[in-house]
Amino acid sequence: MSTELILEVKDLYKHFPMRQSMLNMLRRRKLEIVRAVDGVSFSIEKGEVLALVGESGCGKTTIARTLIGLEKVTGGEILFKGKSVGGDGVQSISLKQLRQRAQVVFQDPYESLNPRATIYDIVSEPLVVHDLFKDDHERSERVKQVLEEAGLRPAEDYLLRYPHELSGGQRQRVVIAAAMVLEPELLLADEPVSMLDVSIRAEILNLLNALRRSRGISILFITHDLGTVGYFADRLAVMYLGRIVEIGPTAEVLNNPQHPYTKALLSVVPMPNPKLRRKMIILSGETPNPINLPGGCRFHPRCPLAMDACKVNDPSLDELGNGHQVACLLAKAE
Amino acid sequence: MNETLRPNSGQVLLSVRHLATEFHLADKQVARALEDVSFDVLPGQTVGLVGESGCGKTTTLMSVMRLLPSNGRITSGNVFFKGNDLLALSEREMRDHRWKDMAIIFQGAMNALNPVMRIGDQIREAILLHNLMDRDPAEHRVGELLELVGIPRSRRDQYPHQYSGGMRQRAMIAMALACSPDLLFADEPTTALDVMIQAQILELLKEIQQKLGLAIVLVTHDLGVVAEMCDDVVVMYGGKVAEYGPAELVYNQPQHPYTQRLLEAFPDLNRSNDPSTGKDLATIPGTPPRLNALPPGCRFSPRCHKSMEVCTQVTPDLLTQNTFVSSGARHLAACHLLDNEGIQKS
Amino acid sequence: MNEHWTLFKRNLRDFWKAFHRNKLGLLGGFLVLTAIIVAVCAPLLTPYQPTEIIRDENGRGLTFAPPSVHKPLGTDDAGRDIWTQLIYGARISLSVGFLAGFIAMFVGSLFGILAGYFGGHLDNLLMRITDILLVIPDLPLMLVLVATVRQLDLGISPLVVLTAVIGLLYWTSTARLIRSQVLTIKERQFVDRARAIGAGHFHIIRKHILPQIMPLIVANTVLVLSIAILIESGLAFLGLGDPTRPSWGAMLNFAFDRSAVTNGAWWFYLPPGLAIVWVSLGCVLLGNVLEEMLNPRLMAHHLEGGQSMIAVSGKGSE
Repeated sequence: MSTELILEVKDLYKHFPMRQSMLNMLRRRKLEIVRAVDGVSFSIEKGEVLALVGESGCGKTTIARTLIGLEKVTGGEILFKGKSVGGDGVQSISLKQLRQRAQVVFQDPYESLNPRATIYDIVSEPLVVHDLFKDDHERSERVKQVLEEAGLRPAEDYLLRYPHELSGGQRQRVVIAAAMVLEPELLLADEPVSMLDVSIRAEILNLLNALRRSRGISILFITHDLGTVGYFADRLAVMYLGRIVEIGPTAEVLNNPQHPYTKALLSVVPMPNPKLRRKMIILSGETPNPINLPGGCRFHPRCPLAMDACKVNDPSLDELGNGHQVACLLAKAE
Repeated sequence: MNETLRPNSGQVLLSVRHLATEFHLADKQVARALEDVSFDVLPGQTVGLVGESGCGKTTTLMSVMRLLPSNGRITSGNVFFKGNDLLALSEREMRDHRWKDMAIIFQGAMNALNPVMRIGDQIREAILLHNLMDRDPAEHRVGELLELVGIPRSRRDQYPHQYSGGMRQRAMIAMALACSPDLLFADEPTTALDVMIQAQILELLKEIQQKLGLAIVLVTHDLGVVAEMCDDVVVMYGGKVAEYGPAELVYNQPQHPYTQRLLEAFPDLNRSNDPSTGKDLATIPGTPPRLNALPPGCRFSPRCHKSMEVCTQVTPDLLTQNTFVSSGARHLAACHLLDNEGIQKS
Repeated sequence: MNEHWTLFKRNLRDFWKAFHRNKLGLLGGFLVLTAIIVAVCAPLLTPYQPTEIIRDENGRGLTFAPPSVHKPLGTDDAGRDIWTQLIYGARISLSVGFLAGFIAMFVGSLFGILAGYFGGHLDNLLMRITDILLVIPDLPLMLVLVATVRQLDLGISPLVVLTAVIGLLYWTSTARLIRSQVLTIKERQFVDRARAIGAGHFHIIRKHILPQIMPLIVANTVLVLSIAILIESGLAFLGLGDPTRPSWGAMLNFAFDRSAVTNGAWWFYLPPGLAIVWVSLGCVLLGNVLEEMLNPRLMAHHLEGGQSMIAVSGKGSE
C-alpha cells in the first residue's frame, strides 16, 4: 500500500439548525442545533479500507453524505488527493469532479434504485451525467463489463430488467456496478450489507474485497456491525455523538480497545459461539440527543469509568503508538 | 402422547409435531410454506428459530398462534400446549389461550404502537381486553409491568413518539406480559435496534425469564443473538427444519450442510484479522427456493456442497434421523448424510 | 433502439393485463372511446349539416318533430336535426373540454414539480398563487372573465376564451397533488444517489421524478378532463359559448331558451344532457381505475408482481 492519501478530512463539522416553532421564536429561545458531526479528522490511504463504526445518531452517515456533497459542510476541510474540495484556487477540485472519482453505495438495495429505470439506465447513468463514453455501443459495452465484474452474468440478461425483478443481493450488485462504472478511487459504502441475508452478505463482502484487491480502490466502510469490520477493514474508527473516540489498525483496536465505549461495544456484539459467554459491559440508558451535549467528555454520563475530570475536560485524540489513537483521559493517563 | 425430543425433561410446555402450512396465492398457486416442522419448548427454556428471510420462521409462529392470514391454512400436524392440541380447538377456545398462556411480540411491533394513545393506556387496554381484572387493579398491574421492563413509572403517560426505539420495545414486552403468559414468542425483537440497546433488551428478557419462569421462542436471523440467548436452536430452511438441538451442539458440531455454511458465512470478530490475505467468507450459491415451485427431494439440495443423488429424490426426515444423545438431549438434522445412528456417511 | 421497443411492448402488455381485469375501467374506456369516435367521424354518421333545416312536404320547417317522425332524434324549434347537432356538438364539447383539461394538467404539473422540487421561496410563491385561486369560487370567476373578454371585443373566438379560462383556472388541485408527490419522491434514496453521482436538477427531474409521477399525472388528467367538460357545458349553458358552433351545453341553452320544455320536446334537451353524462362518467370511471392501479402507495405491489413468494422481512437497521 502506497502512502498516498486519497482522502483527508480535517476538523469536519456538520450542524443542522432545528426548525424553530413560532412560539419559541417569539420567546427568543436559543436556536437548537443538532451537532451531527462535531470535529472529525481522519484520512484514508490509497487501497485502504477504513471502517467507521458507531450506533445510530453518531454521525457516521452524515459524514458520508457530507463528503459526497449531499450536505453542505458547516466547518472544516475535505481534501481529495491533496486538493481541497469545493474550494477556490488552483489546488482544489469541484464537487462535480469529486463525484467522478468518489462513489457512494447506500444501505437499502430496495430504495437506492429507481423502480422505473432499467438496469442499463441505472448503471449507465454516471456515464451520462459525466458525459463519458458517448458512443452508444461503447457505453453499452462498458455497462456490460461492470455488471459482469459485479457478478451479474451474463450481463445481457440484466440490461432490460427492472429492479423489482431482482433479489436484494442482485440489486446491491447493480448498485456496486453503477458505482464502479466510472472507475472511482474512493468508495463510500454506507451499511452496504445490513439489509441483506447473512449468506448474501458474504457474497457482497467478498465482491467488495475482490474489487479492492484488483483495483486498489479505497473504501470508507460505514457500519454498525463490528463482525464485518474484523473481516474487511484495515483500520477502524469508532464514533460517538459526532466525534471519533478511537481509531487505529483493526486488529489493534479489536484486541486492545482503549476507550470505554469501544470496550463496551465490543463486549456486547453477539458472537455465534454459545461457549463464549463473556462479561458484557451493558451501558445503561440511550445515546443522548446530539442537541444537548453533556459538558466535558461527551461520553461521561454513561461511562462506567468516569472520573471527576471527565465532566469538565473534553479529551481530544491522543496517539498511543502504532497509529492507535484514543480520546479518553484515562487512556492518556496510562 | 408423542415421544418427546427431550427425554428426562418432565412436562413439555409446547410440542410442535409435523406442522405443515400452505398459502393459497393468486392464480391458484399454492406455496408450501411449512412442512414437517417439529420442536419442543420446555418451561423456562429459550428456543431460537433461526434462518434467513423466507425460511418460514415467522409463519411457524403465526401457525402455532393460529394467526395466519385468510389465505393461509394449516394442513397437518399437531401443536400441543400443556398436553392440549391447539389445532383442534375452536377459534373461541383458542382466543382464551392467546395472551393468557402464550403472547407474541410481532416483528416491527414497536413501530405499530397506537400513536394517539398513551403508553400506559395501551398496556392497560391489553389487560382489560382479557377481562382479568377491573380498572383499578389493572392500573396497578400496569405500574408493575412498567417496573418489570425497566420503564420509569413517571413515563406512563407519555406517547409513543416520546419514547426511543428501545423503550418502545420494552413497552411491547410489557404488553405481552400483561396476562402473565407461560410462553412468549418474540419475532425479531432486536433487529432494528442498535447493538447496545439490543444487549439491554436481551438482558431484560433474560431477567424476566428468570423472575417469571417464562419460556421464550425467539425468532431471528442473527446467529449471534441466538447463541447468546438460546438453550435450543431450530435452524430452518425453505419451510423445513434443517437442524435442531442444543445451541452448543448445533454451533460447534453442525450436522446439516446449510448450518455449516451459514456459520462459516457469518463474519465474527474472531476471524482472520488480516483482510488483505484473509480468505473469503463462505457463501452459499443460488437463492432460497420459491415456495410455490419447490425442488424435488431435499429443499436445500440445489445449493448443497455435499449433495448426493438421493438428495434430489427423497426428502430427508427430521425425526427418524438423529445423532448424538448427550446430556439427555438429542441433536437432529434432516440430512441424508446421517444414517439412523447419526453417523456421518462421508 | 430495438430494446426500448421491446421494453415498451412489455410494459404495455403488463398494463393491459392489470387493466382489463377491472370491469368498470373497461366501461369507462368504452364510453370515452365511443364519444371520441363519434365526434371524429361525425360527417360520416349523418347526411345533414347541423344548420340545415329539414323541410316537410309543404316546404315548411319540420319543427319539434319527435323521433317517431324524424329519426333518430327528431328536430329542434327550427327544424334542424338533433342527432346531427349532437354529434357535431360532440366535437366542440370534447375539443374544448380536452384542450382545457390538458392545459390545466400541464400548468398544474409544471407548478407542482417546480414547487415540490425546488422548495423554498419558489414553492411559497407558487403555492400562494395556488391558494388564491383555490379560494375564489370558480364558476363566478370564469363567468366574469369570459364576459369581460367578450365585452372587450378583442376578436378572439369565444371558444378559445372558454378553453383558456377553464385551463388557466383549473390547474390548482393538480398542482397540489403533484407537489406533494414530488416532495415524497425527492426524499427517496435513489434521488439522493443521483445527486451523489453529480446529476443536475434537470436530469433528476426528467429521469427520476417524472417517471414516478407520470402515472399520477395521467390518472389525474383524465379526471380533470371530466370536470373540464362539465364546466364547459355549464358555461355554454349560461350562454357563454359560441352560438355558431354549439356544444352540448349550448344545445341545452337553446333547448331551454326556445321552450323545448314547455313544448314537451324531450328529444331536444335529454340527448345533450345524457351525452354530457356519458363522457363525464366515462372519464371518471377511467380516471378512478387508472388512479387505483397507479396509486403510488400501491405502486410497489403493482411492480413487484408475483415475484417474491417470500415475505421480505424488513431487516432495517438504523
